[in-house]
Amino acid sequence: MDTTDLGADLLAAEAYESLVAELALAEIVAVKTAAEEAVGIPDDLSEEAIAALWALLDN
Amino acid sequence: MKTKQIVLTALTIALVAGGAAFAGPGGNGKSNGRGASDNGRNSNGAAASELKWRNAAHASAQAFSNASPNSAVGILATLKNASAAADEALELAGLESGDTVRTVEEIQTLLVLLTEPALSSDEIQALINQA
Repeated sequence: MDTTDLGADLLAAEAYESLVAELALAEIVAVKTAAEEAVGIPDDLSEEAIAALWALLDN
Repeated sequence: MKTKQIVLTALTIALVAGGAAFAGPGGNGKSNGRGASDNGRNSNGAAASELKWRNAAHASAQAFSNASPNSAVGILATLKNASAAADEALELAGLESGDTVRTVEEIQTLLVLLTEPALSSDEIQALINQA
């Protein structure tokens, strides 16, 4: 059976839609990770300093 | 799922547009001065000392919205906005901040595999099981 079969096409379409949604989420998370790295989180700061920084940013 | 996809795409666009809004002259000098002056009032002196330039997080909301993207406040503003967008997107997806999310590269690889012709239904099911 290949993707020309209706069942396989439906499965592929569902998987594609799911992956596209997951990709959008992953891109947003990647932006956050890059922003954290630009600030030095987690490598350059202690846990206390990171907590202090988030407290400042959340205010 | 389609709704989630649209919402997530909208969040991505909002995030990119938000980043552009931080561009502007003069943000760096103002915000760095503010952060430095507030440093002594921080109750956690050790953390404040360790934060160094990141004490610019004391800056006002106006400084955050007007900061140049490469300034201390601009970098922190990007982090603040990116974090809020990520938290919202994760919540919409039914996940939490600490949950593992596959990388963009991993997902793109799966998308390429999925869209290649002549995948058998078993192969497609295997991809779905990975998702």
